[in-house]
Amino acid sequence: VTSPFLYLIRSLLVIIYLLLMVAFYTVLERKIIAYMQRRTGPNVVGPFGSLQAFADALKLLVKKTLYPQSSDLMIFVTGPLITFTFSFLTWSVIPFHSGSSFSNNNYSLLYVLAFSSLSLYGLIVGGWASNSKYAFFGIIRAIAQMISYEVSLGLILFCLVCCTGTLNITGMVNAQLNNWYVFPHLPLFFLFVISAFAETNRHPFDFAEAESELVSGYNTEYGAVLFVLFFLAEYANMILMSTLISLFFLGGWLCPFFPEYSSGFFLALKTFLIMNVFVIVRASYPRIRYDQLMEFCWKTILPFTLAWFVFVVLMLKFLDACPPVGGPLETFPDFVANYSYFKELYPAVDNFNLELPFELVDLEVRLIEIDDLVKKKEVVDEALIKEATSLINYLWGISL
Amino acid sequence: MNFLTTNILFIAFATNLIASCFLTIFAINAINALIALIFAFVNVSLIFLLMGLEFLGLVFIIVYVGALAVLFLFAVMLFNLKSTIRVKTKTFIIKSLIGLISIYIFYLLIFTYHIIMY
Repeated sequence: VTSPFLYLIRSLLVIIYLLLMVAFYTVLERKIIAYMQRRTGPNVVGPFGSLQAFADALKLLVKKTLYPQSSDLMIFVTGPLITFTFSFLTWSVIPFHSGSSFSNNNYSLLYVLAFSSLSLYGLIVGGWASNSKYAFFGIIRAIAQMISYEVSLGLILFCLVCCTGTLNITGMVNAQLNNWYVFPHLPLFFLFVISAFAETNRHPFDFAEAESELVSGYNTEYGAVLFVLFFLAEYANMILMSTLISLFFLGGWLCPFFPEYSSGFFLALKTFLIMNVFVIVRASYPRIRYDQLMEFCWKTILPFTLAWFVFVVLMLKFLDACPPVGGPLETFPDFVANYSYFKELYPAVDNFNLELPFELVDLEVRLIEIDDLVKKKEVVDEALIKEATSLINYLWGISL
Repeated sequence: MNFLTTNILFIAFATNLIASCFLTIFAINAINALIALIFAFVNVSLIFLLMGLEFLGLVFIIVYVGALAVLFLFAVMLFNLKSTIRVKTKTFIIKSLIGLISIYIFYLLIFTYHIIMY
């Protein structure tokens, strides 16, 4: 996408579809839980109650926003905004098909981790600014829980990165072409799912808003629009986690057995399945105890993941199966190559479309110049080729 | 991004950075000071991203904002803030001396950077 207008439309479409997804996900959740408990669930608004979410949203949006008298008002309002912004911003690096994310860069995995740690601040400052004991206990629990599980989440992901050789999510999915990571890393898959539950504060780990103890946890004092923002962020995070699970472990958009039919449809299908797991787990399991949760993270998941990490690295080393640095070469299929001539010599040069450091722009300009010269003349000048080759090697080395 | 955009963004981030550093120092409420500090961290990493140091910027966010500042917040939130008293021990001369020394060190830093670059 080149035109800024198209870019805007595309990003709006993603946001609108995400909001719709959240809306219908809440209805789906209520329906599934209702049927598991032999109730009917919402069945008045729309066919089979499917439009219930819009009625709820309308009700919440026309309500008057109340602010606690003793709250720090500016921080109180900023909290939900931060959470909402970052939980939606993370989708800018999530690819829906090979290389079709907004920002297909070499570090998209790190972007996901960074945004997830930033979105935590919305909860923290929101819960603190409420100036209520319930909200305060809610966020204290939420911080401890999310920090602990982010560690194990990151470690699990870096086991996969060792097998892929890239931090690019598209590359990580393309590396699963022949073997989804759920098979060689089966224990990690389960640990990742559990960590995802804890990371999104979902049942059976929903201590941040344990109704029986803390009224509603960190969002006790929030109502109307601000509550909607928290709510949307929470569910968007759940959908994000399901997407990440299907991208990292279930092959993302890859079609099983017939890779030529791979499309976003398969990503949607897998994500939908994992989303259902989130709901079914909520309806099935009671809330566990808080100390059990912490012990499970620090004494079970973390040591196991560390051991697995060492195991993976040693296996890769001794079986001589280390992945190519920079990941599989088909990582950047959608990039238009600037260096058409040298691209044939160096397929990996596609990576140069990533933004180079400011000091290296001159070198890049020189490379484009040589590329143009060679193309125009159609006569290969040895000195030029030599210069370009050294430039490519230099830039390629740095861009790693 | 062209040169002008880069410059404008840099000025914006740097201004935010300096402003939030001052807020960190002068804020009366410890939580407000910490939030300003986090804002400063984010701006530093944005400047890194602007320089093309993507990995450094992202790791900066993950380590400092995602882990370190959260622990700060965690600790500060558990204090009884009303009982803390501002201790006034350093005189104006010592303060200004420390300020001058740090300005000199900063000047040296920039100077050596220029020597390395050119």
